[in-house]
Amino acid sequence: MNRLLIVALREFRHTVLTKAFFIGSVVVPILIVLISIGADIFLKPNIPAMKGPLAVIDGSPALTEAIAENLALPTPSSATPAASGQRPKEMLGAAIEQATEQAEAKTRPDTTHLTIESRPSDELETIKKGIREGTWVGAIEVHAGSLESSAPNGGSAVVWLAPSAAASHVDLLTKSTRQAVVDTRLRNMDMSPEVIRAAVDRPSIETIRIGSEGGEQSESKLTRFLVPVAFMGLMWIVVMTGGNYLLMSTIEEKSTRVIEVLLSATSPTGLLAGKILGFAGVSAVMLAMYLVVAVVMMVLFAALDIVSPGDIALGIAFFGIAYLMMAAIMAGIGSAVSDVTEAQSLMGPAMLILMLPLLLIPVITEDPNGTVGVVASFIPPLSPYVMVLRIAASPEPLPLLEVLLALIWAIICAGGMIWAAGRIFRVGVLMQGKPPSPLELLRWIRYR
Amino acid sequence: MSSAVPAIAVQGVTKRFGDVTAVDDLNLVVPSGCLIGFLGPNGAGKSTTIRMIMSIIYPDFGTVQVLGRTALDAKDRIGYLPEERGLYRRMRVRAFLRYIGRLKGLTNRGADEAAVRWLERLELPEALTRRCEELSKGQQQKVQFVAAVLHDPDLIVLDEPFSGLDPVNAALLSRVICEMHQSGKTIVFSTHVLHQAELLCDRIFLIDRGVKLLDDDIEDIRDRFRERIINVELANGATLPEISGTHLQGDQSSDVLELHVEDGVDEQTIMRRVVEAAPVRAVSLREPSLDDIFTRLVTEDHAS
Repeated sequence: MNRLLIVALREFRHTVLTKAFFIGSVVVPILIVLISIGADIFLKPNIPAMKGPLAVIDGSPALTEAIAENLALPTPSSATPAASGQRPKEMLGAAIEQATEQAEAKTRPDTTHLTIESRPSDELETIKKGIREGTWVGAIEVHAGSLESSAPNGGSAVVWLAPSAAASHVDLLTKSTRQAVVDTRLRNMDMSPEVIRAAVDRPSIETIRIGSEGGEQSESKLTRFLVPVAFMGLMWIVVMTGGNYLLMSTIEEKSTRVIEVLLSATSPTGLLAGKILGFAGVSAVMLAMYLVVAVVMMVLFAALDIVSPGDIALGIAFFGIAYLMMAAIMAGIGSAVSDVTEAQSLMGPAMLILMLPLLLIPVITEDPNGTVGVVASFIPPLSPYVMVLRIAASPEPLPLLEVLLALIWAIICAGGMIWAAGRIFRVGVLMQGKPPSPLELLRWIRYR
Repeated sequence: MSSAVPAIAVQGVTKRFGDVTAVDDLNLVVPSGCLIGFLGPNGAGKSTTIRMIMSIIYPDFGTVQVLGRTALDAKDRIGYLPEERGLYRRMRVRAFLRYIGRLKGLTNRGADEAAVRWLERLELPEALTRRCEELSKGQQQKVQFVAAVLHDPDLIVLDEPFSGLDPVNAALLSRVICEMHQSGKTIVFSTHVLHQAELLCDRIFLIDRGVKLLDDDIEDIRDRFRERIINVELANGATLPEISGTHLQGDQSSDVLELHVEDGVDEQTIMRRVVEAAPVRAVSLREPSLDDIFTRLVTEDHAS
């Protein structure tokens, strides 16, 4: 078997077939999901019920009634399920919204044993004493004029509570008081709060972009932001993990001095190529695992049309290029240093550059074909991440010529980076002592 | 392999690292089947020369041929134990040796069989299933030696093979090296321990500051540097007056002196004169060791 493949196979087997990889890449994500589900089922937050009298100071009957109504409102856990005929992306959006509402409902305290009593303001001090002693749950004091529609700054109110009152109680009483004041104002103007609420309920809007060459493309916040970020984030994590494995393996071989034995059997170029290939396999396994999960999720939400097969093919091509660029950086650093501590000093500047695609997310998802996006598509090592982000975020397919140019340029840059890394690797792996300066690294590239 | 083809042929090789010339216009021919010692002080250029022979690094000028081929093409026929040694800490010995064996052209089975055979030969069969990090330093060194010879190479390059070994294991390794030499292997043996080189080698290559000082059979070297030395151990506080027909080497105030006998002077006469001239504990005659030759050549080189 070719030496390159022997090296690649060892790196792959000794990374993928280890407990550390299995635990880190399979067990931990599964555990996170299981713990989340288990916590949801078994670790329900202990929300104490609100029991006893709650005073409404100087409250009109209408305000008192409105507060009582709002405190007794049913939890919104019965949010409307996705209506039939909804598009997949809207279904996914609705599911996320529903999950958020359900999470909020879980922290709402039980108010079935709460009684509301209207009391005059001269009893406030007595009630406060009672709150301290636990005979009153609390008191709500809506300041004069706050029930007028012209109240300055929307009016004001105070909620008095015991020092030990739960955060959920504070939250519920604050929200209920605020809503009750608004409802009372509306009723004072002979308006129905329910009707007004229904009237101001914002409609769901579907955005459909009309293609420049005909055709229509439905768009939602999900397709515009979440999907591109998810794909680029996944690619960044997988590439970074694969690169990190390569870095640690190179440092281990150099620090344990096993590198010279390997170099007596294969050339530095062959060794580096084998290592890059081996960890490419590791990254591919990780990517495949996460993609399978992503596809299952898309099938579950009937959202397979979020990305086209062409986009996936381009994504895989740019993933390969991103990995090669990352491998070049990590192999260069790993061969130049003698241990992990030294590597950290060189990793700092490298990480700054590698973090740039993440910082560009808001700019590029907002305007995928803007100047920043187009220029960044041709700057290594940002280009593959930016291209994936643009491909996923762009409402229309990117111009084919631009994609091809970016792809070819990225391949050339990746080739150049690998070549330079190979030159540094050849010299660096045999060097011991203090890590080189950037100038010395450039000199290593020029060595025969 | 034809014995007419030298195991190593280095011609006009120069290697520089920045402003430092590690090896300067080196010419060296190592005949097939010999056991040659690469000697030289620290930083002399031994490891650089070995790395060029192993095609781990390449010369700036000149050519290196190994076993009649370019060094790169001959990698499978060379075994190498580098001075800076190491193993994969978490890897088991069997997996490590199999990996190195595969890189050297063996099959999995061939590598496993050779590993078992060699570990038994080095009295370390129990190491096969253990992790490298569980082995002592000496045991790790033996495993590294096995990695160097596993594929039955024609040329074996050993850089400081005895460092870290206790006397018993050093003797065992020494026997193994001799056996390999007797079976026709060419062995390059780099060391600072000149006594070991003297015992094992039949040829010596001495390098200092990148320049070859000596490259010859050990018997020819002894003939060339044949000299009679009288070791004198004086009684406490005694001093030795100047003895005609000799010159003193080293510190005159020391209790132990070395008198180099000049040509044409009878050494027995000198020894009698020494005993008569001062109270002594011991007087003995010896020929120069490799250490003496090494020290003399390097000192002369530095003085020039």
